Amino acid sequence: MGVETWLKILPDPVREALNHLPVQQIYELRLRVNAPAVVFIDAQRFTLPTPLITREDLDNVVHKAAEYAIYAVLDQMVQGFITIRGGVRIGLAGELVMADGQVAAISNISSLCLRLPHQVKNCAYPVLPYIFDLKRPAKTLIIAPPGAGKTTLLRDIAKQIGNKYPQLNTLILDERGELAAAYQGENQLDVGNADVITGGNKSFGFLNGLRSLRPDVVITDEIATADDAEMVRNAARSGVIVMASTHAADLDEVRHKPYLCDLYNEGVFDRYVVLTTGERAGEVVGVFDRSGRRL
Amino acid sequence: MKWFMGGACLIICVVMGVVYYRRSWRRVQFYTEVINFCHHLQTALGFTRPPLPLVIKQALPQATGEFAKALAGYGQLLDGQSALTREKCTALTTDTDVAEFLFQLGRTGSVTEQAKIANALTIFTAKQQQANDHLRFKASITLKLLIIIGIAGVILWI
Repeated sequence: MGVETWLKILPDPVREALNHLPVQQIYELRLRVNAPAVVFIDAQRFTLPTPLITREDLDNVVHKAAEYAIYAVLDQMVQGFITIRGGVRIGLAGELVMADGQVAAISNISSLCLRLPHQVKNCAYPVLPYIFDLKRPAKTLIIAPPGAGKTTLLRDIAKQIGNKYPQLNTLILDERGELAAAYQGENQLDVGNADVITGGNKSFGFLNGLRSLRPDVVITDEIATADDAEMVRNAARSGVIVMASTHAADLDEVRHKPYLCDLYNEGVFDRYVVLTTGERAGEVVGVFDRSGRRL
Repeated sequence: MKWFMGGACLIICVVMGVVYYRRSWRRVQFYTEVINFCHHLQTALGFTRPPLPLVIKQALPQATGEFAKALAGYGQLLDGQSALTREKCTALTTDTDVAEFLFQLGRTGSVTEQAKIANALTIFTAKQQQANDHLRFKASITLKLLIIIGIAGVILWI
């Protein structure tokens, strides 16, 4: 992914300030109204020597990020994010405009969080012996707090499945456009030979993907709701290998989350991979089997 | 000398008339192109909802004349790094309604965008009608009058 894709959308002073930093290593950039821009490189926080960000700056960033087509990304915006070309996800904070009990728009945007995806080639190697130890890949849940590299790991697993099991059809449900970062039908990040459904929601992806694309493996990011968990359960019961991720600090938190504990108790997943965060982000803390035993 | 002066008078009058007529005609063409662009937008936003720079790229080959230049400039602004401002849009065309329309494009959801385009279509169709009336009556009569004045000048000089 070229950095110019996301650099292009930034206010001029921020872009100029970034010229003095190793842009390729930035994994997060935060823009807040009335504050200077902040970047994160290798878990270190740097405040950029830029003028204070204005609301107009943020509006321009959002407008440019949407490629001047809010009409195309409004569905994402009401969920609090926009994914742009290259899989860069921009989290939005501002005032929610409600209509009929649902979020209809987000106005007066007050801060943006740009999360920049990184393709870490072969980062799945440490976990492959545990999840590829059977004839087929094991149903796996990747567990980590935000920013720990779940998506990066899932992306590499998708690629490795293509290499190790070329006979299997892999389907990626990329609800937020981060896994494959497809743009106008082309994957911007390498996910091997996988079919990719971008956007929409998991329910649609699971139902229609299972019916029409005959997948053996379904890979999806962030099981965040009870509906997501239900879809995963249904797919797993359909004989499909599901690989997913979720936000939690460890396996114990998964056991106590309302919708995830059911998946755990029912033995939907064969393997649980726990990642660490902070300076050692992406490092595997442990791999557990379906009974919670460390492997 | 008399023939030369008469001929010069005729040519000046005809050129003035033709320039005036062409300016009116271009104005009609301009609004016709704007209306075509609005229809193109309606179709694009109604189905695949592509990014605006792509919509512009698709619309450009069909556009001609003054509006094509404005549209090309607008496309460059969208592709550029700096923010799109009202002033930059105003510099693209002398018609402030068209400039404002371009500036406001793509800032809302698809339903609101479609309503905005429909509203703009009403305005631009009225302007096209006005420009057409101007072409058919005022510009046409001015052209004829200037030709007659030119011929009268030739007769007078001779």
